[in-house]
Amino acid sequence: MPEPLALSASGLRLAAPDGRTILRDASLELPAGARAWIEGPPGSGKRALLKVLAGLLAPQAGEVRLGGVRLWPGDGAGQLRGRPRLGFAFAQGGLLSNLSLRENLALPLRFAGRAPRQVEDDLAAALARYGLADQADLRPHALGPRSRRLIQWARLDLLDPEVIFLSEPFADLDGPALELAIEALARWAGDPSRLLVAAGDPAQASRLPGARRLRLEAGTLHPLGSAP
Amino acid sequence: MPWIASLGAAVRHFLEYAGDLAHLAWRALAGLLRLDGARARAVGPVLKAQLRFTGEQGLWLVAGAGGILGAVTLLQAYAQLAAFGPGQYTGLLLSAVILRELGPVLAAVLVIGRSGTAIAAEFATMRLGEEIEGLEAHGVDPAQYLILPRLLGAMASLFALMVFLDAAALLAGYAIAKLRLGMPWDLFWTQVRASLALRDFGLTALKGGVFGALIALQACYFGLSVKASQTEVPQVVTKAVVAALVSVFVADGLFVALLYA
Repeated sequence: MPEPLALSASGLRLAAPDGRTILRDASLELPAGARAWIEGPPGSGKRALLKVLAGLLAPQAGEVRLGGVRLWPGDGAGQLRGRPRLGFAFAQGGLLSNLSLRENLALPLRFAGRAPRQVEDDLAAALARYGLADQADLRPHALGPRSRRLIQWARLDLLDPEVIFLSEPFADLDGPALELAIEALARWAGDPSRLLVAAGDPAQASRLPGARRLRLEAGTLHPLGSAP
Repeated sequence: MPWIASLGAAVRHFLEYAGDLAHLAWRALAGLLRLDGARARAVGPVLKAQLRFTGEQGLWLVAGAGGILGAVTLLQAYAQLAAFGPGQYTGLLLSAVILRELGPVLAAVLVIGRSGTAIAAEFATMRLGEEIEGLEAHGVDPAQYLILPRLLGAMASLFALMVFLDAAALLAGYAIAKLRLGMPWDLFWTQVRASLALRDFGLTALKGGVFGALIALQACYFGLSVKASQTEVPQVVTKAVVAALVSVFVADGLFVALLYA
């Protein structure tokens, strides 16, 4: 049983390439097994904050620690390779455009050392669960937004990460696809060892039960209480 | 004194740039050392694609350029040296001018134009599409999966292309020597062999590796340096081309200074 991971960030400062301030002394403390929902007005920097916390975007100042490993200052997510498994559902992109869906899903599994036969079996199950089996050999640009979104959920399911970051997790989803996403989120949230951090529309926060709600405004994070 | 501050800033900027390149090379090397069977199976197709694009698909362009270079060099030399019995210089001209110097540099310039630009533009587009982040987030080391195969592919391909360019230049040179002076193959080949030393073959391999590494690393570095906008893509491609050209010329100059001066 892996040890639950805590996430802490302090004094984060980040500016956009055009000089606009995105984060100004933003700080966050999430104990092991916590859930957090980050909301804020459009353009407030929610996606950028998630990337900084996941070790994908280097802040100009501040520190991020995940499970005792210092991501920033440092090599970011590169520090975690082989240690706590990370999952990130991107709002857009995040998939290699020159690989099919099947290859995109298989790549991190191969790098994680999963046996080829196991990879094939797991892929088939995940593609069937998310209704993507008939699109598995297409490349991301050939898919609609709903399928591109679902493939992110399928990747998280396959990797079974200990720390999950979700950017606008329910955008582009409705009907059965939305039900699949809600069911997956409830499953992950039911595991007390897993750390979940999502950023999106405040109206969707209740879909992550018990999450601490945080509002990102003018570059700083303000606590809002907990989701029901 | 502002000029000292400017000089200091330029030096610091260059040292930072050199340090970043060295770090990139180190990460690729570390990726090579950590390559186990499963990862090698994932990286293999990327390396194969790079070899095909840079080496195989660039072959005829490079061989054609080599042929033209060999023919033009001898035509010019025969015209300028008509009074001195130019036939005796045929082998020396081809080996000293083309095989040692112009051939490797011309092959490198063509690889910069074809592959350096492609790698820089591809990496920049991947960065903007969050593709690199998608790898990093899910435990796939971009240095191992993306940079290492570009580096190895460019090094191996450039060496092979130099060999083909040299061969094409020699064949075209022989054709000119035969047509203009009626030189028989035996005499031509004896002259070429007499003017070549063993270190010339080693130097071709060394230049292929060093030039290929410089081109690939700088293309990767500048491609990954984009921040936010598609308009940056042509800018980083231009920077990659200029930096690769300068570094290849400087490296070539260092080789000549160290080995032949």
